[in-house]
Amino acid sequence: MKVKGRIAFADLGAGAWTLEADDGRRYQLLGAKGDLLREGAQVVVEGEVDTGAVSTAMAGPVLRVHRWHAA
Amino acid sequence: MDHGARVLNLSLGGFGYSRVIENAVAYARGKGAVVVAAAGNHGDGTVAYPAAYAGAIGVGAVGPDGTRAPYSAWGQQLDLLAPGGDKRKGDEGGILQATIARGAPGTPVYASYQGTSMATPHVSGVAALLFAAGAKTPGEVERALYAGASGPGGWTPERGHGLLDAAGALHALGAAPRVDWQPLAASAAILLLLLLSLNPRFRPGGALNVLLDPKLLVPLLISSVGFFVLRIVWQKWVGAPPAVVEGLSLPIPDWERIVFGRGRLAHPLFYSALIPILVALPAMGWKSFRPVAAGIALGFAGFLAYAAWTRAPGLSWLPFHFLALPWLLGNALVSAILARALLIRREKA
Repeated sequence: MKVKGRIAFADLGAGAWTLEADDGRRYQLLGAKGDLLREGAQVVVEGEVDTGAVSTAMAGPVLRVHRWHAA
Repeated sequence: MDHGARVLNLSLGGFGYSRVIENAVAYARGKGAVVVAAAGNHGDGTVAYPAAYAGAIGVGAVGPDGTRAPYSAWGQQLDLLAPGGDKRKGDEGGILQATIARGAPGTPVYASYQGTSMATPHVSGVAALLFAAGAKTPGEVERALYAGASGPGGWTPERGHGLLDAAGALHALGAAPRVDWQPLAASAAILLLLLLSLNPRFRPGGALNVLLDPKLLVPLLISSVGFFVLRIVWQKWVGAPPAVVEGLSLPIPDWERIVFGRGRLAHPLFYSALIPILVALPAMGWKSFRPVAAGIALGFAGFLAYAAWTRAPGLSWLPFHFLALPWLLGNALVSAILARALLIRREKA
């Protein structure tokens, strides 16, 4: 799936990087690295929701990032 | 728990249902361990797993003002609220704790965090306190936590059983089991309405006489408030009552817990007119059994009406929460009509 949105650090538990999607959903990012991982960056993420994933931040469904680029 | 753990704190979760994990939670609980899990920080009305499994205590978070924090999940499987912090006004609103550092899980730090992950260990701590104070089973711990929780009383999807209260839980552990009399009052009100709706010719000798008939009164009590004497006597003379005894001492609609185990959601067939109808079948040809069947039908009518009134609990199998209310009201009505028919036939025959 492809999701467009804004990168935000969620201050929940020990914290987690999230994607605040344009449709209002919030995903917790897994495997996102690089310059784009900064507060407020507008990005397009290609990846898939990992329903089996468990996290301590529990900020939303875990989105496993395959590719991403600036929007 | 195979190594003696009594309290499992799971400050984590996800959205995928897993039968393996559900069985693991049930296994832990069966071995005498309490499983406490975080409801989630996604802020909507779905509780994450493992908190959503029937064997786990699902914990949501409140901020310093005691109201549910905006990030905290809530919903059908929420059991309790506990302090999880709310940092919208700064770090002092969080839970100050010795914990793992952000981005460096190997490094211990002292930091202010917020989340249902922070609320969960508060409940785990009180669970341990309850075991230390003499609780023998997870059921006892859960009951004391829920009965001792502070708030308006009763379960709601927004607050669970209320806000964790350590002193309240310890007090509830020693106290006699709480008996909820309101369903009986609802049954009595329904009986009064039924008697008024009957032609005086068929009225079974006035409300007081009907209520004083033990053949009607005892089934009415057992179906609306439960055979609580059984549990009180058991606790006094035998010790901590086993699950079957606890189940049998509940109102008949809650006997589903004997069959299906503990669960926050009631089974819709138990919370329906099915049992009164089944009990009424032999009463058609067996006159002296009619007061018993009428008592059970009246008890169910009162119990279901009261359950509808308090908007609790949710029903399993019904896809939408809003279907629970018409289901409970409709079945209360059927039970009341059945009770009326049984009361009339009692006099005519």
